[in-house]
Amino acid sequence: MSEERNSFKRLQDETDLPPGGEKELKNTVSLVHSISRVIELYLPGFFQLLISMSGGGKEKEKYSAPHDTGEKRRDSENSPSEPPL
Amino acid sequence: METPLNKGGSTGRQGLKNVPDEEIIKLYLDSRASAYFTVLYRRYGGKVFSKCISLLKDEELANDATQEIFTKIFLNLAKFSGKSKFSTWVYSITYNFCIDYLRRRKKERNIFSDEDIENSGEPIEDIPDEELLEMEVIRLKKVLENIPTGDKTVLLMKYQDDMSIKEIAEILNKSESAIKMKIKRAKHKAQKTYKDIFKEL
Repeated sequence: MSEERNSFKRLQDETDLPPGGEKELKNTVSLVHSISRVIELYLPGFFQLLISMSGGGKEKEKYSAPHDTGEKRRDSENSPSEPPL
Repeated sequence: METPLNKGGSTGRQGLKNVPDEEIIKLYLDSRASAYFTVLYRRYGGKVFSKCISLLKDEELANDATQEIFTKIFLNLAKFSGKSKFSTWVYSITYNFCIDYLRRRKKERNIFSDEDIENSGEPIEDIPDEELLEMEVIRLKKVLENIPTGDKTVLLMKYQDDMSIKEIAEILNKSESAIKMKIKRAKHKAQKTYKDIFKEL
């Protein structure tokens, strides 16, 4: 190894990691993975639930259902949106 | 997809030995395989732990700090921009974590007080680097245990991590001239402490 090891670096080299640290870290990492996957899966659904509970979901119905009658559709079929040439 | 990890089973990890940090990070971010993060831990865990012991002066505390620092690194890995070396990024998180811890615990409020850095009373003689760099490890350890945290931090950054003055200034949020002065003072204190402890020799 060509890199010169000064006393500061040798001091660092002499410190060994305590055993069990890697296992502990692996547990933490897998816990964080699990939590983030749960959040990814359920958070959008949770927000959807909140929106529908606050009445936000009814907007769609307002525009489609009550006015969507067959009669109206037939009217619009008979009256073209553009004037004939 | 064949990755350095699954290539050759258990020998795959052996194959990562010479892979640069940035490549390991990319592989981890692409695959989310925790084994890649373990590679980074094996490379830097001991170094981070050594710095934590030096700054916090407690092995158990240093072990907990190392775990917290690596959790922080893991959570922020996607934010690593690659502007600096990965090691510099890891060490900056380590130093800031330890300094914040000591400040929170009110053990040392003014680790980097401006008066300490900018106080230019009497001129300080420039000490050659060799005096510190060639010191016996056991003596250096003793000296570092007996100098203030701020001085120890800048000495570790400069001589252990090979950080530039600019990098140290950025991490500690100080000017480059203030850091130069701080290093000069820290070297002076280290030399004085050495003489005080080992004067009989």
